[in-house]
Amino acid sequence: MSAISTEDYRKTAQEAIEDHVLKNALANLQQRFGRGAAEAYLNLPEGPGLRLKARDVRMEAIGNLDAVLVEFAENVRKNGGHVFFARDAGEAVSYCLEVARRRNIKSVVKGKSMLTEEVNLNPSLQEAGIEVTETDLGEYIVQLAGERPSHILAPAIHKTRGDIGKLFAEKIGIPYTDDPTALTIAARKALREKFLSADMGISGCNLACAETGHITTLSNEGNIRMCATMPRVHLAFMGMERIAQRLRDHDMLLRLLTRGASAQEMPTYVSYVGGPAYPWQADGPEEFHVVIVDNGRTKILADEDFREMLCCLRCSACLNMCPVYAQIGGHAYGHTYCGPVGAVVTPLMKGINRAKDLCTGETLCGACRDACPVNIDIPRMLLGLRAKLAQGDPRWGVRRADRKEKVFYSLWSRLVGNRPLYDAFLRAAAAGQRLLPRQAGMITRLPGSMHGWTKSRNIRPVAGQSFNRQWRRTEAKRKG
Amino acid sequence: MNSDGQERFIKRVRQALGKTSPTGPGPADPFPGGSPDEPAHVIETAGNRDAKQKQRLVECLMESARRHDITAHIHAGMQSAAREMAAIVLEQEPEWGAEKSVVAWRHPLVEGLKLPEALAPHRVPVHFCDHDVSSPVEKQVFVTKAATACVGITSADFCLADSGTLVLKTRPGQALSVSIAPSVHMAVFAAEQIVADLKELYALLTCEPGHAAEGLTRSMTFVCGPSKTADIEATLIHGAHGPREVHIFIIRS
Repeated sequence: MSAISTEDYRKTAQEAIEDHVLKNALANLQQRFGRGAAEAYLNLPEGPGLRLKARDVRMEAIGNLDAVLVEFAENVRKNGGHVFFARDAGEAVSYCLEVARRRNIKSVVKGKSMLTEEVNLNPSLQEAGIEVTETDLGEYIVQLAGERPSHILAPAIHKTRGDIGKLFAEKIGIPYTDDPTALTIAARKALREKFLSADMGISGCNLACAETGHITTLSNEGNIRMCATMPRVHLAFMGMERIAQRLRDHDMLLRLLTRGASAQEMPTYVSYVGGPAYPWQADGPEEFHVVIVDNGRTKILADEDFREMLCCLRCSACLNMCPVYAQIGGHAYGHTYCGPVGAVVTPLMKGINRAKDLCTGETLCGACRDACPVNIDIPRMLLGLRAKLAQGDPRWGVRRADRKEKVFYSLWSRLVGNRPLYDAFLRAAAAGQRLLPRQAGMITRLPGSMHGWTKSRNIRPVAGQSFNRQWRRTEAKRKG
Repeated sequence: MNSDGQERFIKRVRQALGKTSPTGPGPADPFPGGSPDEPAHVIETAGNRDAKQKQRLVECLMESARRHDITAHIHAGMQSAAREMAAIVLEQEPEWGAEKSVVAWRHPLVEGLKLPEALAPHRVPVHFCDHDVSSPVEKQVFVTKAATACVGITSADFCLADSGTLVLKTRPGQALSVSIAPSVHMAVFAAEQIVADLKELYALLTCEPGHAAEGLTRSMTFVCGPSKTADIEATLIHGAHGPREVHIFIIRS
């Protein structure tokens, strides 16, 4: 499910651009959630400036992560829960499989978790003969269709009601309908049976709390509550950075997270889970596990230029404002995280060279930073990644993206640093450009390997006279 | 023994942070120096509300309820609340199976409604949640009751005025499934349990002696309105996996 296809960015993006149904859906989504979030920030009692304070609180927790994680783990264990620290995807998945084997788990219900997509959990569970059901409606649709989520919060945004109607008719055997209410009720019925019969519930973690030793899960549908209540084992995957030191930090962080994610004041459900059910409890799981996952995060933590990215709460606010995401949707990004967040996180996790199109594909317009509930400076980090691609960086194993480019720019810098030489170049270019094809006064194709410049836009010709020359002439006339 | 990977993991984190020795957690108060955000100050403000301010809090809650599709009912006594609740139960169509039933918390406020008596003539059973020691079999029986019930009735520890959010801790008799599995959720609480916002809530949870000693419990849930989804063409629909309706009953004594 999470095969990485960042190399196909250009091709998939091109296909998406031609998909008008997708573009309409994305425009609708951005109109509602993107604008809604911006308004919701303005309506905060503290105003949008609260985002800056929240960023400080996040950075503080990240800066103390060693102590904060230990405090969290101790508190969970005090309440009878288990904590496992996984260095990478493999360790995280193995731990989950081990728990499943020990408890004789045959079926799993899952709440939406991007981290389980990141570590590619589902195929491993299925290979072990375990039935896995995604229970968030969007994720369920995507799973039935055998696809990947195309948005962090609205995974099935790329599908129309007609698509979903056909899918449900085929896969869960209901008569075809394209009525969203009827489709939702059909999914509710099908998934209710799964919740009640499942042996294990797997969830993510939106924001843990070290002081109390609880994970926090947010949902509007209530599926995560069902996953954490009905089955006999609850296992939560948590990115190591998704934690607050104090309960009171949750005040601003939850309010900002839900406004950023969906322009809501409060999600329908917030659950603080800190251990298995009490012995006297009439429901709830017998076992509770938290798997804290690194999987490349310590590498990001170690680089001060990118540490800020660990403040991210994966709310998807940046997707809902990004002009690039609006055109190409989520699949083009080729990995779990899409949009501006994916354009930074995926290169850092999967290799900067490998995912170079993601960070060069963004516009640096800054909409993502303004949309971010914790004011992460994504454009700064996109530039940082581009600098690494231009200059290479052994620490991140980055090769220079293109040697020809490097040679070209070193020659160019010599040229522009030498006035007479530059003037000569301009005169030559002004004369030479007459041979190039033009349309409405613009050059439509540059020669040789420079034609990339004019692939998707035309370029203005060099002026007949340079500014300096014009200036000298005008001055001479005035005096003269 | 380090089979949970903690030591190695934390060492890597510490290295990444450029720290050479273990550090304690950050300061308990990130903004020291008596800021107005201080929990003690927040609790004091909450405790000193006069009648007028309390009234404003109720009005704020009613307004929030409207915004979040929560049906709010104010009652001066338990009897009238019980009558209205019973009427709502009788209106409902059972969703799972033909028989209509209610599940409810073992909680003084919920029991005080005396709903079993009110609903008995209509043959609607009320199943209370009372397991002292739950065997897996007993659990299965209760969860099945909750999952087929038409209405679930709980109380709440707090209700946030600024969003209409119910805060439910887990205690004996207060099962989790009562507020998520049935088709309709009703919560009854006293007007004194209304708090302004999350800031006040977290201050009370961490600093009010009773709550501080108890902790958040192993599962604490916030409920803000009916279960909803917008996953099909961003169309908002109520009743995705949880209740399609939420009613709050505020009792003013």
